[in-house]
Amino acid sequence: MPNEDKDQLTTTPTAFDIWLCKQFSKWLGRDVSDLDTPFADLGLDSIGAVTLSADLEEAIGIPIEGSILWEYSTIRLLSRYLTEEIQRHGAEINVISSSDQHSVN
Amino acid sequence: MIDSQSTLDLERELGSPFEPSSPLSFGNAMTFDEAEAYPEPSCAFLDSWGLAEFYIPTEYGGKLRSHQELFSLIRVVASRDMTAAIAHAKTYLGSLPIWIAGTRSQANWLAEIVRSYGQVAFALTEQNHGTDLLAIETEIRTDLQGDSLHGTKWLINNATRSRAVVVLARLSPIRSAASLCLLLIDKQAYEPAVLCPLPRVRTLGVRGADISGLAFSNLRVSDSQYVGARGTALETILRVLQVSRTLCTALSLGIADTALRTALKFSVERQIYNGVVFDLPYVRRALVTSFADLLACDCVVLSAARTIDGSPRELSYRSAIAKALVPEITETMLRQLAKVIGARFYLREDLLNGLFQKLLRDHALVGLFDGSTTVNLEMLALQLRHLLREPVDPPLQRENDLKALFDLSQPLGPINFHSLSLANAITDVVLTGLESMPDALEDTLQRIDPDISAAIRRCHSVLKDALHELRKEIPGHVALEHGRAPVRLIQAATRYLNLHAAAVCIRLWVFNRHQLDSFFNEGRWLILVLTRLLADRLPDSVANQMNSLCEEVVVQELLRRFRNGTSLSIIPLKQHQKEAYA
Repeated sequence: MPNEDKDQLTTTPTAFDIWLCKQFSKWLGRDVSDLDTPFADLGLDSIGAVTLSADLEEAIGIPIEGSILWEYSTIRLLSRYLTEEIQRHGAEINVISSSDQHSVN
Repeated sequence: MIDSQSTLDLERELGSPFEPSSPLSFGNAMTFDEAEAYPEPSCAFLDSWGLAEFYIPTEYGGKLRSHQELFSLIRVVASRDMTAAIAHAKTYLGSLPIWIAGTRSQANWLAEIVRSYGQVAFALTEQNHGTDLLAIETEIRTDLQGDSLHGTKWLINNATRSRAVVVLARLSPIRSAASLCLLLIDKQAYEPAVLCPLPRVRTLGVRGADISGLAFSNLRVSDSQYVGARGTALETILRVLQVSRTLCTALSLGIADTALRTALKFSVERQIYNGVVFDLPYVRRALVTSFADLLACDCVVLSAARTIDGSPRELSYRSAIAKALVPEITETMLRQLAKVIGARFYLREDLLNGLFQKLLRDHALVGLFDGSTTVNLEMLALQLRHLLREPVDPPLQRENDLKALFDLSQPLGPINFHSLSLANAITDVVLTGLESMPDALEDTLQRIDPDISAAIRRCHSVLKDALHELRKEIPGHVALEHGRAPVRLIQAATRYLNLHAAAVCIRLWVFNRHQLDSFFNEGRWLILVLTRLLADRLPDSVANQMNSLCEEVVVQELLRRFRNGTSLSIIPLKQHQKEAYA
């Protein structure tokens, strides 16, 4: 169950978190850098959330439910869920190309 | 042809729409409309005929086994009186959340209500929140005694008359899908102090319909009244809408059918310039293109209806296409037919009791509700990249699956509402599968009249080119603008509608060529339909040539069907009472 865990707010972003931020920035046409801002507050409505799940599926390469952005409604929650799902599918987080890499503290 | 017997039964029981004593006669439809009165006798007739049984899945003892069948019945009712159609069929819409997400106990209870002619409403919208459902204010408050419902719903069909209502409410102020819930309310279980109807809203069309509202004030609800697991309300609603917006298009078909017959009747009877109106070339052109438009819409609705039952995973985009396209084509058709009828389209008496202006006013609703044209276009715009992707599955399997769906003699499996799913990276194989000429199409083209074959081949080629060009216009990744689809993408989606419709018509033709009538099999209707759908891609000279090849045959068929009472649809049904028009 995705619950906001206040302790997590102090955790530094993972490379996957950052990659997701970049994807959503591209998709939403605005800067997405905060891991805990709800997608709805970033201007993503319920229909947009469903259609974006298809792009997420394509970008990551594992099957993704249409309602995913409703259930995991921030970058942080989404990232955590997807990390588990990717591992469950036996895939790897290969989404970060060399051109995307940042130094992560 | 399967699924048609109940339609023939209903038409026969209804009798002639010109006969004042027959239920759902045009005269009665007009009388009730002028009085802004609910069409009680019409709905009572539909009840006693047993239409409500078709709103209940067979699993709960009803007769709903085919949406193709249900939509065909709704089309018949709408062709007589759209007010009666939405007044009666609203119960199906209201029941859908329970069939899709309710418990067995809720479903059995509701089935009993519906079977006993109780009506069911679906209360989503509020005066301040229509399209943006996440913003609704009706809420659940929790105290020591449990949960209670507070708020108002507005512009709800059958809000007052219904026995049961499914209500959308919020559980928390947070703007998110997880905050929403659906509740099943038995209105008889509550006092007026906690549940009372709000006044009817006066509307442009369907003037007799009960379009009203509800006010909830500390209405106590128990756990057993929640519909679906917590947090799934929005998902349930979207799945309901996939079915209900498709049903709406059957309303368009009914109205378009009556409009065309009315214009035909007028034009063959009305004398002008030493002949009749029908003799005028622009009138013949308007009538034949309207017939082509009606057939195109019929194909799109058939495809979507069969998708509900046979391939529910693909329903989301196909129902959006049907809902975005069919009402718009019908609006254009109605305006064109109004010109044929001339002054009488403006009267509330005379030709068919003044029915035509009611058709115009009534139909204006279809593009608005259950997901407006704009909403559906935007949804498609955001998925275009995935829809138009080149198919990766093996062609043989894909074509076999399409045949199972489009071959009208193939019965489809039992309806499984649980298989409805939210849009995901689905490819439109109906359209994209035509890029490489499918064997079945090639075989057919080689066997038919060479001129017809050449024309269809040309249209197929134009369709392919249009698809390629459309692909080029779609950016490599989605990019919303202020949270919305960019305008260019919406324009692309508008063009996509026609391409998908063209593909549907071709598929239906190829897979049904030996089981419908010779008019259908021959294919001239298809050429006319394709020239209409691909009009902006065909040079005028080519389009004119194709029209010359087809128009006269199609005009004669239209007249023949009009005179001998055969339905103006892909599946030709002999309907005796339609002869009364001529």
